[in-house]
Formats: sequence, structure tokens, C-alpha cells
Amino acid sequence: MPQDTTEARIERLVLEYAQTVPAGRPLDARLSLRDDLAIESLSLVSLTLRIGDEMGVDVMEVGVELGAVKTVGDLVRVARTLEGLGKPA
Amino acid sequence: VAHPTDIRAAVGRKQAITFGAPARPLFGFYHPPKDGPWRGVGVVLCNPLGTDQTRSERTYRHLAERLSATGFACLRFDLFGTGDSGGDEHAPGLVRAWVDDLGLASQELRARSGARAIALVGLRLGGTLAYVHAAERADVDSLVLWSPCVTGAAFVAESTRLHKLYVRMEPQLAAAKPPADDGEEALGTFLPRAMIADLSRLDLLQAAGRPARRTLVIDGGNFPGRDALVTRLRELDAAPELRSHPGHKFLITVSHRAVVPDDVIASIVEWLGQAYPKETPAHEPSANHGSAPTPPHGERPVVFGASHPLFGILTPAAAAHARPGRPVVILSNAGCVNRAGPHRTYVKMARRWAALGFDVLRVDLSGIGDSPVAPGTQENVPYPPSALDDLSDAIQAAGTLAGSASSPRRVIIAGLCSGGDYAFQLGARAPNLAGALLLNPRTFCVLDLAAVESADGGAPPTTPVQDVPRALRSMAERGVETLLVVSRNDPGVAYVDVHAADAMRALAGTPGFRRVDVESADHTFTPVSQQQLVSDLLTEHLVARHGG
Repeated sequence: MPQDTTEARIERLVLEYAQTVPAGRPLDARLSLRDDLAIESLSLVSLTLRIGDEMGVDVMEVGVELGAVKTVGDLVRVARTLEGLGKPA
Repeated sequence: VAHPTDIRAAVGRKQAITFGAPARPLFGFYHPPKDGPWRGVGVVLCNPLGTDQTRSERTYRHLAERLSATGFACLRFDLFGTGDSGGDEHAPGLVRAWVDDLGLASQELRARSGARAIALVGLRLGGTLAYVHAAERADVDSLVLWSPCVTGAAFVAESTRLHKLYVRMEPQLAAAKPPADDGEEALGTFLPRAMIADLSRLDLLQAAGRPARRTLVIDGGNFPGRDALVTRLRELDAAPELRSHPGHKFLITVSHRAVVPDDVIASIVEWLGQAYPKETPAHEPSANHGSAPTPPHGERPVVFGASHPLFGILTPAAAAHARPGRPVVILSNAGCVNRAGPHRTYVKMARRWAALGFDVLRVDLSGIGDSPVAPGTQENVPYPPSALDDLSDAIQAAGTLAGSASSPRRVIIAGLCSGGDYAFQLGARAPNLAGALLLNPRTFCVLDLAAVESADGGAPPTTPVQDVPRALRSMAERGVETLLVVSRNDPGVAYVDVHAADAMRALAGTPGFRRVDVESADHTFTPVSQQQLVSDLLTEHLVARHGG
């Protein structure tokens, strides 16, 4: 079975946490996590930890900038960074 | 005002009770089985901890109501040091005490209902504690483990990591001071080092005894250790059944947006019902109503309300410091969080103020916490249509609870978020008001919530923003001592600051009005140091303005 793309993994996780679920797929990268998907700040924290767990990286241990995460696209960028960190050398 | 409290509503009957050892009073609600033949079984619900507790409170109430309606007796209660029970997180040996609390709750439920068997239900850490208790006692017949933490260490790691990441993602919190005591923060709850050590010794896979004759394990999604736990239960001959109910978001959702996981509740009720047929003769209330220790701080659950029952808890002023005529403080819900307040701040402040000589009434508005929903309306709404009437009833009840009908006491109304909005509304209009304490009001019941929460703060306001500073001034001028406490950039006041800047600035120096901006805080004052700071601020204000 082919592996999920980063975008697909993030979409799956985002939908676990979204209170408002838009109809279109894939999710538009510009969707606001708070305003469009109604993911409040504590949920976003939980979601970010889950992403780290899926990528095999402890988000607390890495220096990823998390303060500016506002959109689905921002999360995909964070995930890509974590993915790079999680790969064995 | 009714006391003791018996609340009857369309969903059934319940009674607020205090039980446990004299020095360790526990608060809870007893839900008797619905009239008619019943199942002869009592179900004790074991709370989780911290934000899990806050966010599952409504789900637990629904579960208790459903169990009662299908012929079970049920007890839901707050563990010692949490919710409305006595004590706080600094009490020594809390984890051991929590496990023992379940024994006291089972004993209380047997005494009240005459139940011949006990079942335990626990969510997250509540499941962990329920398992440990059941394995030690070997007298629990059925055990429901709902996404339990397989180890206490896992709970500590997850909740403290969430807190640390939250602080990193909310830059304004970065400067919050660490707690004065040795321990860790977990999103508004303080975990002392000794408690962490005790929690870290809990490991369900190492528990030796069979916890129950039959067990139900509910996987709510993202459940580390699930398969190992089920395997272990099978080894122990505990007849585990695994059911998956993924997709529920109530534990990660702010209370007023959360959806009760009805299918999980139905699954638990159905699984318990399978084992216990409804064949016990009609339930006769036991003459032994269990133990009745002195409630924490002499608190009294009260039911009041002119048109429908409303629930609250009165913390009476310490006799040594009480003074006749001193106003009663009323705390109104923050959003849909029950009367304990976010991070249990209302409980702590009420007890602190009572020790200084203030009577304090913490109330649940209609359809929030344990106040039944008003006829024809929906539950779990932060701005219920009857809110102002509810609070008028609370003012009347508070005025006569510790005073007399002919000489009602004056009132100070206080609250966070929507509670602050109602303090503003009542401060502007209610008679007999001595003061108003507004913590991070969201809309003042004047502004458009969507506009306030929109990032586009520059858009022209669609509501009369100028009414806010005008009413604040008017409150002060008519003798309502007003304290506005605001986390820096909190959306409600920030919106007014932008759109009515001159009028807000002009409030400075108005006699009877004071505004304090709190740095390094979020909307609910999650950092423990900021909770303490706010409590200190309000306490100093109360003593200075109303302590005479």
C-alpha cells in the first residue's frame, strides 16, 4: 500500500480535530485552523503533538517555530520540517 | 431556596451530597434509579483530572442520567482536592487518597441505594484509578475503562507536554512565572512533584489482581497501550470486551462547542444492562443515607429559582470574620464551565474570600453544570436566554440566604468571559448591587461575538461599542464598585479599546472604576502564577472596597 503524502497525513489529523469540516478535498492550504476549521488553541497544541508523534519526533525537543501556525499550509510546513528531522541519517 | 438539595427535572432526579471521612469531605451527585423495578446495581463514575475533568463533566452527567433512567443507581463525584470536594492539589498522598475515594463512593452508593453489586466507570486517568482500586479490592463486579491512561507516567508526560507546547504557541504566556512550588503545570492544573512521583508508580500492566468479573475497554481513538491492556485483562480472567468509538472530540474541544458522545454512552449503558436484568423490586430508598461529614468550608449546595430549579453552592463567611451587611459575592459561569470555574479558580477564590468574611455563591445558569435547562431551551449555551433572570434569582437567593427576607443583603457580581459579560449587564441595571468584578468579558452582551473574535479588528463595528465605556462609567457613578481585569490583548476588551479608544482611556481615574491589565496571561488565566495573581487582585479589591 502506498504511503500517505505529508499533505494527506496532515489532512487526516486536521479532520480529527476540526469542529467545522469543509466539504472540499483536499483541504485548501489557506484554510485558517481557527476561523475555518474551528480548531481552538488547546486543540491545536494537541494536534501538533500528534503530528510530532506520527513523524517520530518530539516537538518539544526541536526548534520548530510554532507561534506562527495559522493555516493548514503552515501545519504542512511544520510537518515537513519534522519529517526531515525524524528520518534516520 | 431548598436545602438539602433535590433537583427534579425532565431527565430525572438527583441529589447533591457530601460524603467521605470527616477530614476529607467529597462532593457529588446521587442519581437514584428511575421509579419501578431496577437492576440492583450501583455505578460509580470516576472523574479524570485537569482539563479532562472540565471537559467531561457534561458527558458524565449525561451518562449518570442515562444510567438512572435505565434502572441503575449512580454516583458521580469529585475526587479529593478537585472540583467541589474539599482540599487542594497540595494535600499529601493524593493519589493514594483518590484510589481510596472510590471505595468511599462505592460504600456511599451501596448505603443510599441498597445496591447488591458495584460497577465502576472511568475515563482517562479516572479509568486508571478505577482499575487500581478494583484490582486491590476485588469487590467490583463490572469495570468500564474508557480510553484509560495505561500508566500514570503517560498521563503526566502527555499533560505536561501539552502545557509546555501551549506556552510555546501562545507567545504572550512565555513570560509567566513558573509556580512557586516544586512541580509541573498541566494546562491550568498544578502537579506537585510528590504527586507526579505517585502517579508515575501507577501501571495497569503490573497490577496483580483481577479488577472485575467483566470489563469493557473503550477505545476512543489514539489509545496507546490498548492491546497490551486487553491482553493483560484476558490473562487475569477479567473477560475484556473491546469496543471502538473513535472520532469524538469533546476532550479537545472548548466546553460550549463540545458534542456529547452519545454512542459511547449508549454503548456503556447497553453493556452494563446486558449483565443486570431489571428484576429487582421497586427501589425503596434506604433509611441509611450514608455518611454525612461536614462539607468543605461549611459549603451548602442550594437550589433556587422562581420558574425552574437552579443549582449553586454557597460558601459561608467564616464566623470570626463575618460582618453584618457585608455584600454577598456571586460567581457566574465562565462560558459553559460549571460553577467550579476554569482550572477550579472559582472554588479556590470562594473559599479564600469566605475565610476573610464574605459569603460567596457560585451558580450554574440554566442548562450549564447541574442547573437543569430552562423549558423550551437548549443546554450548554454560554449565553442562555434566561441568564439575566437566573442571575436575578441568584441575587435574590444570595440576598436572603445569609440575611433575611426583610433586609436582603447587597451583592457583588463576578465572572470570567460570559460571566464577566453578565456582571457588566447586571452592574449597569440591577438594583441592590454593591460591586462588579469583570474578568476578560467577551462581548459585554453588547458586541457581536464573531466580530470580536475575527482577526479583522479594523473593520467598522456593527454594534454600539461606545455603550461599553458609557455603561462602565455609569456603573461607577451609581455606586457599583467596578473592577475590570483583562489579559493583555484579550479579544473583548481589545475590541472596545480599538473602537472606543478615547472613551476607554477617559475611564482612568473615574472614582469607583479600576482596570488592571494582566501580562503573560490567556483568556482563562491558564498559568498557575497568573491564577494566583488574579486571585490576589480580586481579594485585595474586595477587602479594600467591601471589607469594612
